[in-house]
Parts: sequence; C-alpha cells; structure tokens
Amino acid sequence: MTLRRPNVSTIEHFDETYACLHACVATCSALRELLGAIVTRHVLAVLIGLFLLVPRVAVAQLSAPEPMIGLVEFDGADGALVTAAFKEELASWDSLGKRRSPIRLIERARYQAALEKSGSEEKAAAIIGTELGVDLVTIGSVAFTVENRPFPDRKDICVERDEANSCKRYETRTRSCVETKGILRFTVRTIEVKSATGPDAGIIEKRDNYLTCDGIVQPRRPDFGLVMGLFASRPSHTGPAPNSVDSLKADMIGTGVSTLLFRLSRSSRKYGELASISGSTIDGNTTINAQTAMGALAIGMNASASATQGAIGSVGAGQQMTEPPFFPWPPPAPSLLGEVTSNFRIGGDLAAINKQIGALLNRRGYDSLHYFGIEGGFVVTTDLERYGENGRPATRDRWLIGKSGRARSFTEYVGNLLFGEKGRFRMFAFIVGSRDPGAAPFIATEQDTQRWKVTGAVALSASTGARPVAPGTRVWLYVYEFENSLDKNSKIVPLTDHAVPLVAHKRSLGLQ
Amino acid sequence: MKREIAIRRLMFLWGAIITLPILLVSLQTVFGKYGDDSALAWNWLLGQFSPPIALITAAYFSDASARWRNGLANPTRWWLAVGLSTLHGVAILVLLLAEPVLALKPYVLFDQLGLLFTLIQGIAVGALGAVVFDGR
Repeated sequence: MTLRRPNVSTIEHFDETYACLHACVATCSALRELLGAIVTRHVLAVLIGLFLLVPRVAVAQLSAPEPMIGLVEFDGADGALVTAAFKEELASWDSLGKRRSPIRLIERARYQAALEKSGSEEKAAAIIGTELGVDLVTIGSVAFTVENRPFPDRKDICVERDEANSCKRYETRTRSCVETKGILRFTVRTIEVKSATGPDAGIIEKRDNYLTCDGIVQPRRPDFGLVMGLFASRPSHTGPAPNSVDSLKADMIGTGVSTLLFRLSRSSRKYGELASISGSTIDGNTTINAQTAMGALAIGMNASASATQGAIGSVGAGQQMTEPPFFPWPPPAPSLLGEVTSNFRIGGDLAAINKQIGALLNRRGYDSLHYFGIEGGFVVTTDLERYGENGRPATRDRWLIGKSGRARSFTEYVGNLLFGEKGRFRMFAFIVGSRDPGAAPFIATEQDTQRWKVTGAVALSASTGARPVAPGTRVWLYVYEFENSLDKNSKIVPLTDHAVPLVAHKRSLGLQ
Repeated sequence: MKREIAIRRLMFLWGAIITLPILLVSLQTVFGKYGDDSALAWNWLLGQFSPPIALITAAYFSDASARWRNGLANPTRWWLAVGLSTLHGVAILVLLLAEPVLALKPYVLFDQLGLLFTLIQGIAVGALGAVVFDGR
C-alpha cells in the first residue's frame, strides 16, 4: 500500500479556502469592533446632544410668552353654575401648583355692554380683548337638558329560599324603568383679538345617565376620573343627593369644565397656528368675516373713548363697517415710529392730505399703496421693500422679499456663506387721524404684512376722502422692519436690532 | 496598483472629500446660518457621506487575505471609483458653496436636489463596491 501524496493543487486549494475563511472571520471581527466604536460614539453624541438640547428646549418653552385667553362667562340657564365651576377649577389650577392658567374669566355684563355698543360678537371680543390685553376671547353658552326614556325591564327575582338562605326558586318579573339621560352642551367660539376674526368654533357635548326602576334609583357607576382619583379635588357626591338629576348635572358640569379648560389651554398653545390660519385664508368667508369686523377695533377705540366723551352714539357703526378695510387698532408695535405732521399741510378734507402723502410716496417709487379706514382718518401702507444700512431703498431686488442670492463683494459672499443672508426689509404705514394711535403690545409678523397687502384698498374711498379734517389731526409714520429668516418655514422675521434710526428712514422718504 | 494600496488611497480620497463640507457646515452651524433648523443640513450632509464612508472604512479596516491584498486592482474600476467619488464630493461642495448666490433657501435645495444626489451617491457607492469586493 502506498500513500499518495496530495497533489499541489489540492494544497493550494486548501490554503486558499483557509485564507478566505480567515479573512471572513477577521473582517467580521474588525467590523464588529468598528461598529462597536461607532455605536459607542453615536450613543455618546446622542447623550451629549440631549444634554445640550433638553435645557435649551425647556428654556425656550418656559420663556415663550403664552397667549392669554379671555373666557366670557357662559350664557344660558346654567351659565352661573358653569361659571362657578370654572372659578373653582381655575383656583384649584393655581393652588395645585400647575403652571399659571392662561385663561381669564370676563364678566358677562361687561361683554354684553360691549356687544350692545358694537353690534357683533367679533367687535365686542375685540373691544374687551384689547382692554384686558388678552389675545383670544372665547364666548359661549351652555345648556343642560334631561331626557327621560321609560322602558320595561325583565329581571329574575328570588321568590323562595331554603334554610341556608339560598334561593330555591326564581320568577321572572317585568319592572318599569326610566333611563334619565343628561346632555351638557357647550357652544363655544374663539375670536382672535388682533384680527377680530373667529377662527375656531365648535360644540363640546357630554352625556351621562342613570336608571330608576320601580321607583328605586340604580347606583351609578363612578366615572373613570373618580376611580383613578385623578379629579380628587372635585368632591364626588357632596351637595345634591346622589343619583339624582342635580347630582348628574353637578358631575357633568365638573367634568365638562375640566374638558373645556383643557381644550382652551391647548388652543392657547396652538395660538400661532390659529393666527396663521386667520392670516392666510383671506378669501371667501374669512374675508367677509374680517371685513365685517373691519371697524371693530376702531369702534373699540370709540367705545373706550366714549367713557369720557360720551360720543359713541354719534359714530355710525354701519358706516364704519362698510368703509375701507380693517387695520388693527391700536396698530401692532412698529420697530420705529414718529410724528411727521409738520411735513404736510393739514386742512380741508382727508383727500388733500392723502394727495400729499401719495405724491411723496410716488416720487420715491412706491406705486402700490394700501388704504385702511380708522376713526376720523385713514392709514396708508407701502409694500415691503429691501433697504440698505443707510436707510435708502436697495438699488437691486428692492421688491424681492426673502433671500436674494446676490453678493456685491467676496466679503459679503463669505458672510452669506457662513452667517446666512441678512437682508433688511421695511414697510411704512402713514396714520392720519386725530387720536394718538399708540401701539399694541404685539409686533407685526410676516402674516400681518401679507394680510395688509391683500386686504388694503387700492385707493382712499370717496366718502372717507370727502370728510373734513378733524381738529388735532396728525400724521404718524410707523416703520415695520424685518430681516431674512434663516429658519425653514418663514421668509422674514421682525428685526430687533434697530441699527437704522428713524431719521434715516425719514430721510429716505424725503421727510424732515 | 495593489488592491491594498487602492483601498488606502480611496480611504484618503474620501477623507479629503468629507473634510471641507463637514468643516463648512460645522462653521455654518456655529455661526447660526441655519437658524433653528441646522439638524436639517446635517441630516442631508451625513445622508450623503455615510454610505460610501461606511463601505470604504469597513474595507480598509477589515483583514483581507494576503492574496487579495497583493492582487492588482482593476485599473478601470479603480479610476471609475476615484472619478465618481470625486464627482460626488465636488457636487456636494459646489452645492454648499453656490447656495449663497442662489435665491433659494438651502433647505429647498436639499429637498429639490435630493433625487439627483441620491443617484450620484448610488453610482459612486457602486463603483467603490466594485473595487472593494473585486476578487474577494
């Protein structure tokens, strides 16, 4: 027997296979180590990111001003009960150490007075909201109704028992039952004070019931909140007798108020969305709504003035409503403002002043103007324009809003590359009237500028122009400044550095 | 050129390719170029670089057989990988450098050119794979 030597090709094949397997194992091992290192680094990066991000988000959340909601006391037969429950809930909100409630109760009588003077819910809400400094006003009514539904019910009843008291014989008997169903219906409407429009309206309904059979009230199941002790601050069955209409009503009002407060609080946090909805839907019904409410804030001003002047009755509400489009009053806080009356001849009618302002603006290239009506005067606004650091309008891309993608020098290009393009934009508003316009406690946003551009009339109406200039009429210049937004979802944001003084803006208009 | 050297050179090439864009976006993030949305820029950039970098890193650090390491790389595949990797890197850099002179916001560019860049990336990764897995 002879041993055969393995031939060379077999050995080479074995070596190759072994080397391949070895390479695979080594690759797997290296990959595992690499992945381990990557995962560890990623986990560390995520942890560091969270460590840096969480306090930032928390600070942003805490420092963000929360819009306030004014809740008008509820109308309806049970309005007083609901209002009392609201007061209790708001008090418990504070006492339990929750964050401060963004909701303020407004007396019904105060709202009614404003409603009678102004003639519409939007106007009344705008008046009251402006006076109280809230951003949204919720108006609503509440109704509690009871329905009784009789029905026969079959039940097995023990008719014979043994010595051990166990039931020996059952009989099925029919008994008469009544289902008492309570329905609590809140009809609410939220109106944005700034625009005097009502972007949110709806009905919140709660239902609950109990049974009475053969005159005996069946025990009602406690609601989920009571079981879990989540609403421990709300007494369960004190006051009205348990399992009665009164008890049902009290419980339903309690839970209904909690639900409503939760929803209102949530809508307060979503206020930005509400504002953008009312700002972006400027066609159709919303326009009608906005224009119906046009003079609302102007009339609001009348209402506050009427306390001292007693002049509210002399202002024709209908005339104001159908007059030129709405401009918020007082106007949103501008970046800069100043009186420019000395640059114009004040006298005759409003058309004469408008002619001077129009000529001034036309000379400077503002050929698209937007007119709004206010009490005893008017407002004219320009389009947003790009301007330079000297206050003069930009020579290129003057009317292009947002990013232009132009750099005049290499330095500017590098700046735009690293810091983002910092274009500056402005909008002028000339306010002509006999009252000091002041400024609202909020600033104009991108949505405001878009809304004004769309809703403003192209010329001063003949009726407004024919009005004689009232004594004490002055002309105010409001400058709203913006800059490019670097975030994804907006073109411009209000500018806060005020690097260009008012005098530079006035000089660019040819004003002293 | 030996495959080992080819992989090493590709590794260095990709190291050079990612340096500038990552440095640039880091500076932009620090200087607030993207406002509160800098995560979107990083998502886009890392989405571009992660697949080729992961592939070439794994090939570089893995223990290949001596036969494979000492084998010669296919010149056509090698130059294709180099060319497409460079094209991918240059395209990313050009987009980042050209953004300031375009009227569109960077996020819009990232979104609108996403399909094109995914296509370039896919071809570049394919070319890298052809070198890495050739003869293994």
